[in-house]
Amino acid sequence: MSEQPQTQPHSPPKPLLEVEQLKIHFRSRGRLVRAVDGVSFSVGSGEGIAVIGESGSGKTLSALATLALVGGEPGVVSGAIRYQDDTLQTDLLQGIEACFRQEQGTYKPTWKAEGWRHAYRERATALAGRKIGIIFQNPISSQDPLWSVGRTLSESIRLHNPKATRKEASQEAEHWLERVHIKNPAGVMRSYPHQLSGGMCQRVMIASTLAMRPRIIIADEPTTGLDMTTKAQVLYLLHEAREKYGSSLIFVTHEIGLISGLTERVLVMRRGHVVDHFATSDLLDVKMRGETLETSHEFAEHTQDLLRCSLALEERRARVL
Amino acid sequence: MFQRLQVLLRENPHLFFGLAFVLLLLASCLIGALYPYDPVIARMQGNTPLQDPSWRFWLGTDHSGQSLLILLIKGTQAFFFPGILASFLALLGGISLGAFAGFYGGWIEQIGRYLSTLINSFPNLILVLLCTTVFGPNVYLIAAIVGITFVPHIAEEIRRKVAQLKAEEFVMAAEAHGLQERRILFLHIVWLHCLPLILRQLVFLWSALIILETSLNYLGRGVLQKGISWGKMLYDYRSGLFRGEIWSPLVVTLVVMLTMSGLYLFAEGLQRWSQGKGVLHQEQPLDS
Repeated sequence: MSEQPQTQPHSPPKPLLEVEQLKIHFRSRGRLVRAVDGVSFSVGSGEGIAVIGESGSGKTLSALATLALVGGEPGVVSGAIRYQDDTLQTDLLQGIEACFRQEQGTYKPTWKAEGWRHAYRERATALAGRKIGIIFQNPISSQDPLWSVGRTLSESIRLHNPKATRKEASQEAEHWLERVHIKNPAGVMRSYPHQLSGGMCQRVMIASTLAMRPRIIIADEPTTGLDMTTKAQVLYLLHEAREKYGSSLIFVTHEIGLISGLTERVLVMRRGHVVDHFATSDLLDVKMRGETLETSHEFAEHTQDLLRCSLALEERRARVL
Repeated sequence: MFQRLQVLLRENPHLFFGLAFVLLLLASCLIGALYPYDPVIARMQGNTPLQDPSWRFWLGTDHSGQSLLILLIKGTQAFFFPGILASFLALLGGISLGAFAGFYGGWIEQIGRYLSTLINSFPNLILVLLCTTVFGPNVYLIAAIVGITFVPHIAEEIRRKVAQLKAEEFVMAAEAHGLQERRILFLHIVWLHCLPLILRQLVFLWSALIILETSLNYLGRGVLQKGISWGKMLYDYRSGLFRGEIWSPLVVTLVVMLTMSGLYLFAEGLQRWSQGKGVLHQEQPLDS
């Protein structure tokens, strides 16, 4: 990969999750779409990384692949996803080489692919929730509309701790709602997702993810569609989760302004490639003077474009206020 | 409780009356199963035949002097237990086929579709007539056939719903929480979201079974030479029609018709209920 930077700003202590040369392809109206084309990154224990990029750059897909949530054909075709902590060590994409035949840059599934996908999903289910938790973009539609918030929460708690009785689980669920700063936990427990506001729902989703004590939290644009104050609350909760429970964080977003203070490293993605990789602290002294960026760090061209857009927007906002 | 019923009556009268009717039908099935009644003894009691309705005989008596009401209630037995068998078979086949086909697609769906076409290509009544001729009249055999012929309908309805729900975000979120696929499929998708749909199909199954049982007995290919059933009653009363004894066959026909309409009302109500469920708590649209 010529576009990939060779040196990393600082090497992580011990990678918890390693993604190597991940490729996700789709067939769309006869054409091949290389949605993710050779992406590598790693997350250490307790570390926070941000993945930024425009929509369609493959950042969400790369995150979803760690839990085998990528649908479509042929899907994940090549690469390695390794997870390891003190109790569990697994290579999610084990045996992928035998399942896809390479022909001039495209990957054709062989007869082994179906069985392999099943094994991949099984391995991912073992990780899902307990090791890696995902917070999705649309909090309201990612809860079962016919189940009350309390039942959804209790279900994740009992999944984490199967010995808990129904009553214990619902008590713990209420605790978790308190921990994400919901004022009326008993009332929220009884209500249904569509009766809550977006911000409330996102907090419930964060609670249900945190309740399983995952080692890694993947936040997939968790602030989309929320107003500024709720956005700040959600970011604060994620920050708190890292501080209190020592979780790692993969923060997927297109808003470059949100990541400072939450993550240590930043990956910039574009068209399925990682185009830039730097420490979050490099962003601190970025300033705009007229049309040019003034920084001490050498950013890749695409990162500079993103920064310029974001800063220009901020400036305009400052002028309006 | 009373208030809830009032709300139901206002919001969904179909379901209210349908439910009332289904409960009435179930009650008479239960009474019919528990009430000891011997038609031979009843005939020997020597009640006046062809009586008009009175306090003693609410619907009058038939040509043999038996109470029509008791006969009608006892007649429900003919399809009650077979109906349970048929429902069980249809649900077992329909849910497993439909759920797996909808969720996994691929070759499971292909096999399911092939089976459905195979079953659908036989006309119901002919199939039943054929089987009773070959294996002899047995009401449970008929029920089994009805159950199996309903498998494709239920499977198709469930398959469509499951395929639609599978794309929903909450299913993905449940997977991301580490729930087992089977649990998501059967607890969340089938049990929570497909229940009204399954109930509705069951209602259609029962009505088909009642019609089939009645027409079979009327055709004289009946399975109950000694027992009591609505179809057998119609068969017994048809000779009386030419003597102008129209009351008893009329009552039986009306009861069959009422039962059908009641069941369809219930099915319609369920349909409306499940459609309105998602929007129940939202604001009412403004009427212009």
